[in-house]
Amino acid sequence: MNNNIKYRIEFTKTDRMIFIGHLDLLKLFQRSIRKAKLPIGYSWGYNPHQLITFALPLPLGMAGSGEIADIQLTRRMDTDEIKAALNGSLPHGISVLCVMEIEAGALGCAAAVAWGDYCVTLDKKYDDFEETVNNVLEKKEIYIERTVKKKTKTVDIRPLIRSIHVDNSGDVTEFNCNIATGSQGNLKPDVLIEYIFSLMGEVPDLLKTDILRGTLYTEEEGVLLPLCPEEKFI
Amino acid sequence: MLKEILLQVEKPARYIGNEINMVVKEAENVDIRFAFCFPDVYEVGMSHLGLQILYYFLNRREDVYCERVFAPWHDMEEKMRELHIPLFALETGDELKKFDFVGFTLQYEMSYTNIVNMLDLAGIPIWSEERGEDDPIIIAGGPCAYNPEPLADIIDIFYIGEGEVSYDELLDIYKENKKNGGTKEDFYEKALGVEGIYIPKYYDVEYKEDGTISRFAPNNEKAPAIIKKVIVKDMDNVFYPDKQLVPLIETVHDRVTLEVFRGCIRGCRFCQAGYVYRPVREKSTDRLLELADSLIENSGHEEISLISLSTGDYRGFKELAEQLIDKYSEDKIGISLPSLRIDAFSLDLMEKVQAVRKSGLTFAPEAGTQRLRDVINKGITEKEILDGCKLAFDGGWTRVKLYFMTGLPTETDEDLMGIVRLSDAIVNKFFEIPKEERKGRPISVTISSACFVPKPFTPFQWAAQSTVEEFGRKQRYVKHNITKKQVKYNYHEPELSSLEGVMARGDRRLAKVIVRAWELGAKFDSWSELFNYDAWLQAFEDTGVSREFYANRERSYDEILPWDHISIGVSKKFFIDEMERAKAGQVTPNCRRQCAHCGAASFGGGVCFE
Repeated sequence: MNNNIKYRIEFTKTDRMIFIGHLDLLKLFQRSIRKAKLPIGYSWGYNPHQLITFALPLPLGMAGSGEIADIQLTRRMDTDEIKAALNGSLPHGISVLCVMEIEAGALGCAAAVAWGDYCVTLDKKYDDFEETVNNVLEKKEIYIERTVKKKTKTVDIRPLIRSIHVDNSGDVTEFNCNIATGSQGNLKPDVLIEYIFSLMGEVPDLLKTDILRGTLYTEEEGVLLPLCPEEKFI
Repeated sequence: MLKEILLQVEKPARYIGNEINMVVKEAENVDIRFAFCFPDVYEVGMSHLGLQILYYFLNRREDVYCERVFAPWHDMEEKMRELHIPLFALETGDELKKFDFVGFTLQYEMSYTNIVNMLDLAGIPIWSEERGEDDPIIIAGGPCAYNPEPLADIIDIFYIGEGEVSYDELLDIYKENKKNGGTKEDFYEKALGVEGIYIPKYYDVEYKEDGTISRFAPNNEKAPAIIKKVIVKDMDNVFYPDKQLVPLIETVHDRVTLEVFRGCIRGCRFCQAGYVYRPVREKSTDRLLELADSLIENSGHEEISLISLSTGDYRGFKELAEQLIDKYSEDKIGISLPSLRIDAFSLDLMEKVQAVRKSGLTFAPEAGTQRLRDVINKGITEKEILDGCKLAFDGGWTRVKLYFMTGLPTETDEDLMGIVRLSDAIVNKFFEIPKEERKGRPISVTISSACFVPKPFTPFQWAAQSTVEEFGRKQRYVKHNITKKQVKYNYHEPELSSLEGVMARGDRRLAKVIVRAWELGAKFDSWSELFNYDAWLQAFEDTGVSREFYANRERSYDEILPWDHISIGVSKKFFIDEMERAKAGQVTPNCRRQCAHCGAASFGGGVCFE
């Protein structure tokens, strides 16, 4: 055990920064933490590394407005000070929204994350999209084929979907969804989009689809709690 | 649209900029827009110290916005051509045509086709004479600019020497001229008065029937007959950035770099860098420690690298290295020390610095026998190498890398055999250690052999290069004679080195070969997976230019060389003397032991006056 203080950070990954991968993001945080002169804790061993963990990698090309990381500092600091120091170091497109101290024994963000909000903007307007989604939500089970490590298996994705809300009032179809996000159960938004399109007899153009991952949640006794519950306004 | 493309190419972060310490300015509010172009991919270009220095040097002026441009990888190029997206700069995303200057750094000859390709991607005419008033001015500098002639019809202005010296003057003249509504021609004529500036169109060249140059002379009275390089005299007071761009993706050298000194005291006769950067000019230890602090503080990097042509030759090396280790080891900052000579001190140092794992040790004997090492003035003896290896083995280093060159002047099969013998001797040295005292993994020796390319401004500038066939035979000879299983042999493709040999000592007639090779698909020539040798062979055939004339021909001392109008401060007479000493197997002491009166003292600074 160490005497490090744990902090949870909520940050965005938008604009040009959607084009850097997870390992590069990790390196960027390591360097920004150094540049910000935060008293970061290090692991023991021959190659000590900074004590930082991310809730869940964001796929390349997807934006995030509520990404989560946990860091450990060797001394207690004011959370606003941590936030300001990091924002002074991080490049445009990544900004820290909130920092909160978490209990020493609390579950780490990677283990805790269970659900995520996604905001999807499709390439154009699909008139029958809302109706299709309503049909999806009425189903009790949805079996689809998924290929993981060259093995194809049939899985039920219905329990992985909590909600989908369609907004078809604009020039293009948009929807928000809350779906399983984490190691206990995960539904990629791409897979969901492809499934909905298959019901419409179409194939989505994912390169022209914008996806923003919003708030990440943990689940406690059936209730969703944001991983970083400090008040915030988006 | 850009998002869609970027998601379809390898490493999209190559094209987005946005790094820590990127300079952000309002492009509309500056007088001069400068596109600094590195004719290779992002990861290579971003590892280049010259870019980091010039980027901040130019941007320190409020009236200039310097942005970066790299060669797009072929997947990105395909998309850009398909969708008619012109080559753009990373900072603003603006196309190159909007810039006042497009500057290329010439780091290696085999990047020339990429320059042509980048101009084409930018929609800028390739040939200097075809560009109009609205096109940017194409300027180039860097080590290959010391023989600018192969690119003389493509580049408008060459900058000969170190950027910190004349750029301010040049940019001031440009700004003034622009303000007064002057033409490009007006600017060029004024630029002729700036030290280190070479504008090829003001010089004419005539050739003899045998293809050699009969006359090279200015055709404008303002153009100096000889263009002498410009260099920084006082390294402590010259501008050096206190920060560095921190790339978002891993680059070739992913760390902050601290330049310790310029030049090299050694005088290895094959090495162009050893002559063109003369004289040696050091930074003081205090200044270096101060810079190290600010670089680390402003970048957040986890590693700092001391760089120079031969870091162990820095007079304050011991003090500097020890102080850096003391200061930074607690903050988990690694120190990387390339180009060290192996001795007890450097091994001890390497034990202490985290950045160097106990993986490999590298020696660069360059030649296999003492005779040939004397010819090339490589002051390292077999005993020094074996003693160094013994120390290393005792310390637990068991992987040895050896760098050699084949095709050096006067080389015989006996010298090639020496490569094998030296490697064997290192293996034997290891087995002399009693079995129970051996540390680490089993011994392995890796020989890396490059093909010698004679370069301008070296004593070997008159020498003939081996042909592709000769290089092949030499490599097979070495390979065939290696018997020990602990010895591994790697060698460079002679085809590429042979073309490099043509470009390095080329003249103005080569531009059409470069452009033809590019038309036939050549680009990224230094990337083996993209190297298109057939395109080059075809280009020589189509243009009727003989590669043998440039690469494999021995020149006489009285021949007018294509780069004779450029002066690096080292005299031709010195190079002739050195060539003669080489033939006689005589070594020349390094600059600190004894001045060889090369001519570099004319700059009035550095080691010549220590």
